[in-house]
Amino acid sequence: MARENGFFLLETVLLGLILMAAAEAFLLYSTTEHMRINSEAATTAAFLAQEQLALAEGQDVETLSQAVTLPWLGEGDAVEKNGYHYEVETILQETVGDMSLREVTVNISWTENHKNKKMSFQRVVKCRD
Amino acid sequence: MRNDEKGQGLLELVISLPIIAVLLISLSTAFLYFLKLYTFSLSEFELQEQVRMPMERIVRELTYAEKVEIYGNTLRIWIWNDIGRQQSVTYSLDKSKLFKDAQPLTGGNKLGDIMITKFRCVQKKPEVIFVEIEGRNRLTQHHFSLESAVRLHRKKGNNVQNKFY
Repeated sequence: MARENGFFLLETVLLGLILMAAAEAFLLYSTTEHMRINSEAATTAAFLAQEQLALAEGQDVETLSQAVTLPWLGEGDAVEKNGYHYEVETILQETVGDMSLREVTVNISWTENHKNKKMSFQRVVKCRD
Repeated sequence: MRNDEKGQGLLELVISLPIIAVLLISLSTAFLYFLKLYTFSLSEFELQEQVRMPMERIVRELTYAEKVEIYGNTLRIWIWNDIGRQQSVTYSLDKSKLFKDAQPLTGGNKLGDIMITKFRCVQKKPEVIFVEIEGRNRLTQHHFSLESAVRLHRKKGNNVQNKFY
């Protein structure tokens, strides 16, 4: 048989390198995009929690000392921001040892790429003198 | 010359060249497309940064504010400086840029063409100031906005009235 030639090793390696470069470019983009979306949603959630904590702290003494939960205190009924729907849960609890203080916990949850994400923030507020 | 020393024929060359050309063009197009998307992603990071950074500064300074004045798109915060004297810092929106004491806080970005489209400060409750900043990336037409609120923690005995116009 005069010409029974398959692929050379060099040809296979070169083709592999080209395909790897293309795959790497896609991977680079996909990782960056994932990080961007994650950072965008988490930053928004952190500032929303800060807003809820500030508005909770600004409530009257009666509400602060008796309420167990608080609704979203910001603008609008639902929290829609940057294309995400955020669920805001605010829980008020007694603190150990000091009855004039209450612990406010704000849980923010949202769905990102079909995954549920959650962040929690806490602050102690003074409700009685 | 030996009989089995054969190179490529003209026909093989004519067939293989267009195949290689198509392959290379497709690969380079895909590579450039992903590179463009990657640049877009980085410019979106810039947008986030341009909105987040002034928001963090304003929130931090409002936390320690002694007095706050709001005039439309301008926020003036009075704080105590390191040597115990009261000084004011002014944040304002002008020509799609946020300024702090006439110095630009945003702009100068390399990848995206970022503009600040909204800067809103409102008194929500007594001693609670609401702040909203929105930016737009002109490269991707994407909007990003952040909102927060700060409860002023003034020193006891400070009865200075805040001004809101």
